[in-house]
Amino acid sequence: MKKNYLPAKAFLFLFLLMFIFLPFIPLVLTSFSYNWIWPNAMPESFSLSAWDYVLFDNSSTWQAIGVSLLIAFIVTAVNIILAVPAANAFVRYPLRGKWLFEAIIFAPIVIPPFVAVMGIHLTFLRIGLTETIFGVVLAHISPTLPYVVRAAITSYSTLSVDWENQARMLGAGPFSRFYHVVLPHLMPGIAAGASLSILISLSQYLITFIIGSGQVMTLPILLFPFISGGDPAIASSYSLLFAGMAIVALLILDLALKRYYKKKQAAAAIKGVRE
Amino acid sequence: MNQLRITQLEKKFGERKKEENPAFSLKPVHLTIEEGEFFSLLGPSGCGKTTLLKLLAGLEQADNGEVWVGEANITNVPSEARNFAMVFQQPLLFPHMNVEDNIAFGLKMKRVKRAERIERALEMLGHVGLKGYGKRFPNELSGGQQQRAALARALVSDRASY
Repeated sequence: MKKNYLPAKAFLFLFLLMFIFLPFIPLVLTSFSYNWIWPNAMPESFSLSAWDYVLFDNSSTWQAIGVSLLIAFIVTAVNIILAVPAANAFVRYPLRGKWLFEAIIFAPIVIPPFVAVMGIHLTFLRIGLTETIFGVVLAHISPTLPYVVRAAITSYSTLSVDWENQARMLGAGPFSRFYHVVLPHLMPGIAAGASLSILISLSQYLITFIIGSGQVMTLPILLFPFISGGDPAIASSYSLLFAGMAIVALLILDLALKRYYKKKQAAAAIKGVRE
Repeated sequence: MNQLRITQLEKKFGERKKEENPAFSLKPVHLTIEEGEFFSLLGPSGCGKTTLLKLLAGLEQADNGEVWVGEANITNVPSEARNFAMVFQQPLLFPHMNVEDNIAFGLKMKRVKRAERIERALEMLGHVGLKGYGKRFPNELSGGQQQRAALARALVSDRASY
């Protein structure tokens, strides 16, 4: 058995190296380069000016990171609140024309966001939601919600109604049933959906740009002009910063989840000590 | 004296596809069980024993008929407020709680203080012969032990058990 794993592992390692790790090398080099012109294989001189500009000269960087994360976490929280009852309905209730509701919820994955955003923009213009963080949050929900609903549906469909019936017979009302029995079962699925939701929200450019009209500055909005013909060194620094922000956001989520499970274990351990 | 009275309880399940067996329905049941009576319900598979129990527990909604306990009509009382206990065919111990938390769950729902409910849970664990198993999680018990833990969980909360 062990032999069979080795080629697979080697392949996976090579794959990760080629497609994830290697592209970062020129990115890092560019971010520290000064005047790196073709056909030089390596930059002629290095400088910290790009990083200096991104991190210190340009105060809007930190603000943009803050706004990006704020939007991503609010969007994810709203998504979870919407997705859990939706998944419950999809899995548990015999619904006439269920496929239609599913098609509507999953449509944003298939249809390019640009199509919907133009309409949303017009509507938001009328009711004055453009150029606000609230409007951007609302607009970010459509491309992220399908993933959270998908994950919640998967979790729900592996939860037999028997567990809730058992809790009912022990006197648990609707809230207790959800909190003590359903939520622990859904947690891994919700975490998976939430990570996707955070990542997708963080990387939205077009939707933020159109709905925010350049007033809501997230990191992709700052980054884009430099990629499409600005200073490549600054673009690289921003890209690295963006990757770092996404990784940190996921780590925070992971840590929170681990704490949630640890708290449960710790509660069990404390009981053990007392007795 | 509290009796459990079942009058004309009836349940029909929705029509299935024609090739399959005809839809299952429970013919009207009329039954009185005295308090303290030891009552067994026997019958072949699929004859509706579990359906009748679920109707009594309120986990299924009856189409017709009424369920009375003493002088109270509980036909429309939700399951969690009926104060019944039930041991299901599967143990259904909550996998994320250890055995003593599982057993104490019913008491927790009744807002019994933590120290007291753990004490009562441990006592009940002893009664079903699982002393010292309280800290284990359900997947660390054998099938029979799980079933006994489920029994303890049903018995511990002073409910009318069926």
